Amino acid sequence: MKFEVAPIVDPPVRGLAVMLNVATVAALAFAAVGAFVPGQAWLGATAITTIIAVPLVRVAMLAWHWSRRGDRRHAGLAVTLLLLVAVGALLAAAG
Amino acid sequence: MSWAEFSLGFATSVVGSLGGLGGAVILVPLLVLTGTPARLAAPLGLVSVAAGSLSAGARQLDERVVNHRIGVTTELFATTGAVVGALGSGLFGDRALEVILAVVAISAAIAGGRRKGIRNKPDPSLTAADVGEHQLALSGVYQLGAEFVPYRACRPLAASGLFTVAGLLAGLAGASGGFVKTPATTEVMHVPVRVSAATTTFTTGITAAAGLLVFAIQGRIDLATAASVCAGAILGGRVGAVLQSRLSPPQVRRLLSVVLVLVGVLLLVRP
Repeated sequence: MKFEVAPIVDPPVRGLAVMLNVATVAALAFAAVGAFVPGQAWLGATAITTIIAVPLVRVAMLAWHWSRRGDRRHAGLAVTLLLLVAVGALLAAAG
Repeated sequence: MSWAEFSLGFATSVVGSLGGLGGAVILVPLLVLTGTPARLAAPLGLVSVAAGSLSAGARQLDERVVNHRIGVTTELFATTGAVVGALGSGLFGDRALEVILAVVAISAAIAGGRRKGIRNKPDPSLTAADVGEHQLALSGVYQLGAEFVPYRACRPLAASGLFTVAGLLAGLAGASGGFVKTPATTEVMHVPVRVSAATTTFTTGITAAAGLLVFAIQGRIDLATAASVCAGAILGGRVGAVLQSRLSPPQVRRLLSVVLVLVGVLLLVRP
């Protein structure tokens, strides 16, 4: 496969890999303590909140990164994706 | 009970990441077969999916094999399916969810057994500086050994139906839907298997988050059990990633397919 014009390679999103590494260690620690230490169920809830929040924060970071680099179409798609998740949560809360 | 769910989360995450189908597609049927009601097992499956996605994320970013633009574009359909599935799953009885799970397990077995090899060819003019995804397009370059392979996704709208189905399965049954997403990305959109698998790992985390948010609001997540599965799945995902380079993925996939068919049949015939 050959590209007609030289495409611009997107640089990595700054801070994303660090966030994922920190979140993985934190979620593992929270989940392990929440599961095996009596009376620490709130740490289990923190672990579940972490694994729900991180993919959504990642999409928000991508939307910001893409909008700053002029890729408004994909930034718009990322924002739409986050709105869809929010609508789902609102429907669940209403139901 | 914590150790039982931790061990199940760990073992299914190791096996699932080795076979490339994700652990939830094995975890949820096994939880149901060991006595967990299907409507409570589905959220635990999504916990396993989200934990596995998080666990693999940083390594895949380092290798620059995830195409985020392809992921976000296709995920619009999968997330819609996941939200609809999670909201609608409360309308189904446990027996109906068990039958859906059985069909999902057998479908995953078939998809895993039919996985294809390499389609895109390396381009000798490309270098390490070209690796990554391209701005303003659904294309990129990835490294395959010492060579560099360009790719461009085609027909994202044609694959949209399959992504919606993958999301529905995640919301209804707690499976990651990766066994639908990866073949849809490789066979319909012509994205290389390695990029497709990594991008699917990224997107299954979003699908799982959307479904889990609905389940959390509905009060269907048992926190102690979910924490055990989460810890097991994160560790299992890491161990699976290390073992992946030492074992033959096709052999693991074939073994996994046999196990999935067995589990699917057991779910269908149980009283």
